[in-house]
Amino acid sequence: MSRSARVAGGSIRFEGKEIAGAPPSVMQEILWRRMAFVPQSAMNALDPVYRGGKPIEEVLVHRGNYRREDVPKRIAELLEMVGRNPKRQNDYPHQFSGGMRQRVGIALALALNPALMIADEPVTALDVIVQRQVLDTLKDLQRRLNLSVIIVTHDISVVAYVCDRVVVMYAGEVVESGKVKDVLEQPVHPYTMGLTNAFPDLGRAAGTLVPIAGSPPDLRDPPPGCRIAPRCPFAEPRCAQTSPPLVTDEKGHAAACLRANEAPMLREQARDPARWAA
Amino acid sequence: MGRLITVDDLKKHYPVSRSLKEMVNGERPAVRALDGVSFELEERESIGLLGESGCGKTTTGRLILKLEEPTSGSVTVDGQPIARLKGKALKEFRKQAQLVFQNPFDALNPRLTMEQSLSEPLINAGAPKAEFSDRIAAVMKQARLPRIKEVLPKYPHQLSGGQLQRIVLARALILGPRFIVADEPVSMLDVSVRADILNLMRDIQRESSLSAIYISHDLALVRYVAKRTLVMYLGRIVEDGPTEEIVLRPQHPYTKALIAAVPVPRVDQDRGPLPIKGNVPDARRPPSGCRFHDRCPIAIARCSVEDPALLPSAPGHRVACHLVAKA
Repeated sequence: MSRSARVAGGSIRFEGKEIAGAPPSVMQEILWRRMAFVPQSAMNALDPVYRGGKPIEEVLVHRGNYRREDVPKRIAELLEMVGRNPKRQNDYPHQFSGGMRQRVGIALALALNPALMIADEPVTALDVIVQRQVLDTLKDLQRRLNLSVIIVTHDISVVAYVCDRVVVMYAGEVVESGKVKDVLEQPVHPYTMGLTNAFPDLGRAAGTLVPIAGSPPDLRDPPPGCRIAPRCPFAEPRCAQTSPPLVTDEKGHAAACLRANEAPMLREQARDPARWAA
Repeated sequence: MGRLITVDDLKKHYPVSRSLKEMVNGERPAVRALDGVSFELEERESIGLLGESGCGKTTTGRLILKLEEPTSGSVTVDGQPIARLKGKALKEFRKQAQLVFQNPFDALNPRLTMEQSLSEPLINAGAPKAEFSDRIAAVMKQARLPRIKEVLPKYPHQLSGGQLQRIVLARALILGPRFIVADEPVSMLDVSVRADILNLMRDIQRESSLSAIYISHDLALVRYVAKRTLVMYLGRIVEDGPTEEIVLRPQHPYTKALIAAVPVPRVDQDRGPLPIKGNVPDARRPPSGCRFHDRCPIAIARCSVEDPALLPSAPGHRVACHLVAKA
């Protein structure tokens, strides 16, 4: 988090420990060891003057208390795991393709066997074939290593392909969450309906892509009531006054919309592109 | 409809530094970014150039815009080979051929207001100053940019990605070009904004006589803006046909792999293993015969020896594969 930002409230519990606003000394114990991060465009996140295996070595030695002599074996193991030729650990980042660099980023995150990996837009900058290869690797690792994974993305198809659950966010708030199948097939929140409308689907006839008119609000001065109301085709006067609570149904499917009980009808109406016109 | 652009056996090789062994052997290694590409573009036509990084799609775009000179082959626009354009004729060509940049956050000078950014092409083209504000207003309307007065004095950091991409598009359109080359025009945008910009580009093409070349690695996006698609692999065209035909009935095994890899936003997807292995080979030493044979799931002995020609498989559809029935 940027130094100027602070946790204004709330709590994050990780393995029973409170970590919201925790001091660096506490976080240092957790980061890499229990929780690891793959930054967005990991393609550019590697230092160009270090050879491929070097950043992994640093994590292993400084954070994992590995002995220097055990390091090469572990690096080879990690690179092998993400599908990269371990013999090339002495090459520089520019000698690798984007997909390969992304894999190094993942190997780096997995160096100390964390319980949780957070990957920010892990395939956004990659070609479709490489995307698929990296996602297949991710899925496979998640299963084999018993890993929990949080993927941060704007790409619904990535969610559909790798995730079990999804949390849809808008303007700093959760608007819907639940099992991926429930949320994508039977969205309750109009924003989720709009997102699925705007997303191209190669497996279906080419209709018109329907964008959500307008743009996200200025977070210095968010609109009162429901934050998406100014852009929502189903907004009623009460939406501009009351902040909708996040209500969870018996299946664990949650949505924050005052008209959640009308969802089946709204879904029907949301299919009509004219509804979404600005 | 007349012919607008003819690309004939276009090649672009970038020399790379030689090893001692190569020097001794007198070899001149080069990255063969483009290795014999031919196609035509009609007036008002929109085509997609589809392929992975390093397939030569961006190089093709740059050569057509005369931003680079080919190693061999030619590009003819309106019956004129662009290689020979100079002086006044070149300036005229620059007005007619425009590029839409990939990343709207980088494409505009951060120290210029929107008005200054939009005026620049007009200044370069020597348009009379009195026309500026009308032409800017007209092009902003064309790019569906509302609240012109509010937007013009702003700097890039004050606008959203969608607004910036509209300005980038408006900038490409302000001189009234005959054709645009758009290199991954929406890859940096969010889902909803992306849909918006794709719709806009489709509308602009319908309303004007503009031709367009869209460069992308994602067929799901190309499909919305291009009626015809050329699939490229390692500096060659492997398939060329109507976009919907390619989506529904791909012929070349590489195209089939590309389509299998395109992610779909549904959970009920039945997706087998990817029918392709490995990575794109080194363009300095492309494989013998068919360039795809070492990754191809159906390659036969002939494929590693004989280079397949791009031949018609159906009306308006060409494929470069020994194993696809010829029309």
